[in-house]
Amino acid sequence: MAAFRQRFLAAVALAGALAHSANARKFYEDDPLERTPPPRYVKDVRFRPLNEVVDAVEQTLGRSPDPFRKARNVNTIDEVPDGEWFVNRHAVRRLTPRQLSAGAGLDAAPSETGSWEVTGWKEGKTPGFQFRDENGRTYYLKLDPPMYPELASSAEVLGSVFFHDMGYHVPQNYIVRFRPDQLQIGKGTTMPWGTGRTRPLTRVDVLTLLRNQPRDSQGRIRAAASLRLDGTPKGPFRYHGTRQDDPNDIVAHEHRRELRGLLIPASWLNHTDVNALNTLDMLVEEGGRRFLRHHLVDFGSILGSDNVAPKTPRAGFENLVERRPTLIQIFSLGAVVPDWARAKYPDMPSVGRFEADFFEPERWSPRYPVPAFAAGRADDWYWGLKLVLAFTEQDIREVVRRAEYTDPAATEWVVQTLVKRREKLARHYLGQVLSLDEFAISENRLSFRDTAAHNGFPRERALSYQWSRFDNDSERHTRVPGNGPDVPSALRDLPTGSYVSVLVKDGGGKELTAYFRRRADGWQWVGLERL
Amino acid sequence: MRLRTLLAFLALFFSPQLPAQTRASEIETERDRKSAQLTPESPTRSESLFGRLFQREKVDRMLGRVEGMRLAFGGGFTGSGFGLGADYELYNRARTMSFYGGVRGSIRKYYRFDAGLRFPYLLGGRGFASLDLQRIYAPRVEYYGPGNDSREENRTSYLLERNSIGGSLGVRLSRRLSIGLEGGGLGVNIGRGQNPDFPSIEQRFLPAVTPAVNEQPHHVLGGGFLHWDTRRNPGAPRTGQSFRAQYMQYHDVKLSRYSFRQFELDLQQYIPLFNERRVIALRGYGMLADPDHGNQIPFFLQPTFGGPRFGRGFHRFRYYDQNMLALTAEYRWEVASGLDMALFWDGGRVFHLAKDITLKNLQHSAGIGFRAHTREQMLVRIDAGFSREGVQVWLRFDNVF
Repeated sequence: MAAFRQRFLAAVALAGALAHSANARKFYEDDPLERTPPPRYVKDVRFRPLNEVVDAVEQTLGRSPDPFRKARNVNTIDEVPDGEWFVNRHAVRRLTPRQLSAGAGLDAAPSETGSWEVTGWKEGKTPGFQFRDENGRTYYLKLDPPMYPELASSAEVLGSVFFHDMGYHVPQNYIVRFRPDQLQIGKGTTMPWGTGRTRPLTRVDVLTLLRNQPRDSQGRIRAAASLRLDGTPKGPFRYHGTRQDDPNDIVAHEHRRELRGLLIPASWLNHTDVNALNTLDMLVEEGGRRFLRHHLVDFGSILGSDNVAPKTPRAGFENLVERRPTLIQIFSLGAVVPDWARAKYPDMPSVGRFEADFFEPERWSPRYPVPAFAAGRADDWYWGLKLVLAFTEQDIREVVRRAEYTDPAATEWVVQTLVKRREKLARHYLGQVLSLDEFAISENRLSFRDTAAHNGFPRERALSYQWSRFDNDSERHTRVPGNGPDVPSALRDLPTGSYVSVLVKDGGGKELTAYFRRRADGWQWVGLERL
Repeated sequence: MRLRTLLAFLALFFSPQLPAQTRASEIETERDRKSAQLTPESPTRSESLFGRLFQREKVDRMLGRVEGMRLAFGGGFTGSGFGLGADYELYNRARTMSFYGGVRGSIRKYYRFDAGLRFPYLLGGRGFASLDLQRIYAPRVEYYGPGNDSREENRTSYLLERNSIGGSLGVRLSRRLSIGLEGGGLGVNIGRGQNPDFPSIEQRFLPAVTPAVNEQPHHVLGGGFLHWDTRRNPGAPRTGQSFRAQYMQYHDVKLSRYSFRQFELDLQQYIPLFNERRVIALRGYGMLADPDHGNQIPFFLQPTFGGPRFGRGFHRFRYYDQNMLALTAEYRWEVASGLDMALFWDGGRVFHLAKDITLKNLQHSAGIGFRAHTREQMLVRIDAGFSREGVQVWLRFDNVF
């Protein structure tokens, strides 16, 4: 009976899918979509916690997703529409220097002179507390490891600014300086005590937490303060599957371009702790709609920081569990020294272990596997690379200022390391696709932006062009003579609503197809197929 | 609920299908489909199962990161065999004082009880103090006779019942240097060994060669120490050094025949290579004693060579005498995250008179080990040591040094 029911449901689904595909067209009037439709009203979503050990074990032992499927949430020109996961920013709409350094915002920094009311407490490996400033805003305070001043707080702030400028949703993070006497204990605030119990938090607890923190000449302690995100937390999002209770979550996360492509920015910033635990879904209400917004959070483990200490040199080169390197180390009795162990790091406590010379883009890996990264393809990586390439050296410098390193040499080291890592990423990933973008037809001539050349990595290309008339309903290409960038005369006077395509090939076997729709006022670029 | 979902599903697919006119409407159709199938978020089966097993609090508790009760592995005394117990630790609010207690038992019927108070943060962090109570019941401790040439076939066992109270008071002169005073009382009862495979100590060794084998002195002790420590993570160090010198005066208040002075020097140096993924760890350890005129050092307070700390290729407590010198060199390498291996050499000897200290006639052993650790502490180590007397394998829940 169960088998029959399964077969019946499968038949229904197949029939539905066929009926649906029979009506499908390649391009719709509103293509390319710049923004996903406004989200559906979400009635009821539960908080779903995630255990860090379980996630690490599941992702380490789990089966990798199929890596050959195209990302399912891209629009027809292979970009990610703005939405609740991602908003195109610096790579598409250039930010001003001030916007760049502001990240998610500069207008909600905690008041550094007024009192802060401690309203929550966090025990464990990275202790900290939650506080409310005199403006009534709530923040999470994250301290630096006492032996490594500025290490984690800089990472926390830089991570939020960089990822925001790329387009991800992140909290506003600030470098703050406070005196312990600014802190007041909020009424009813408790802390863990003994086995599974809590007790009222006291001033002594707070002072005890702070007693080893270095102070500046005014007796202030430096830390990172993360503004509480709007809405109600509903737990981390996974890098695979979808939420079962969110009607807007219709694309398996491993097939989301912004999650697949995140590999590249994560490797650039050495965000080895990129995993589900450092994400957060918030239920927000805006414009009468209630929906989930998906955030990246907790950046204390980017660059050379590992939150409580500098990163291990292994970070970024090997997962937590790697069979082959482990066996090599066991059976060679340590005689084989991994190349990454020879990396040279600066003697700067605020920077930790962050460098570019040994960075290998193709080898970089987070602490444990991320399903969306495993599903990624060259077009996803190219998309991620464009997020990184959008930052010029001047842009990087603008953002790194937010870390407020005391030592100018630390600022310079981080800037130059990011510049070098950016170059390495570009050299590796630009060659994997035909890196042309921003297609247009003007005065019957095809134009585009060569991303490689535009970013200072010019390539010798011998491009060839193959023009076709394109039938949007049958998706059939009818080739017309013409092998240059000029639109062939046979296609120039097509009626409004007609489509043409051009297959562009370089000499190295890379190709792409761009699609255009005839409008009354000219040609509109509507499609791009890169692989 | 299932029926309703199925009906919605069927209605969606068998309703007259209008071709989507826009990409947005296509997305909305997908959302319709998803809306018809919404179910509350719930953890997967493995998340539920392992989530309970690996709750953050439980993991932190296992690793000793949080206060309260936690499971303790090991019998609490070398040679106790597999043991388990519970430790309890609780701090005051200012974390300037903690109470700790622990009870452990092992399959070889060893027991250990600890309790104490620690004051890690006195004088604004400059000072520290502790008060410790301990009782150990170890019914089959090995003894082979005195000297560096004692014979393996002379193995015996004895019962050690040891009750002690001790306290220390120290000052951190700098972040690296601390000095302090120590004192306490010690009562030991020696009895018939309960290892059925070997004779009891009194059957083979007389008081003339094994001091205090037939009587029970009680000691009051006092002394001081100086400690220079630049290690970053003392629980699992990869760099830095630790030099500790301790002087103790043992005064026999019961029999007045077993008073002595003891000087202990422990030098540890960690030489990091390749970003600390390789470490050469060196240790020199000496314990020199000087009995008062006409006094002897009870055999159970003599240093020993052999066992999981010194001379890992030898049986535990293999060599006893009044003085001991031990050298260790380890080449440690990281094989995976949280897992190190080590090749080691241990050399050392015991000797009767402090003036006879020499590096000649060392007992040698060498071996290989696996160590699982966190950034801050050693979790478990397995060392296999080889010597002319065979192979010894040690499973320990502490660091060798």
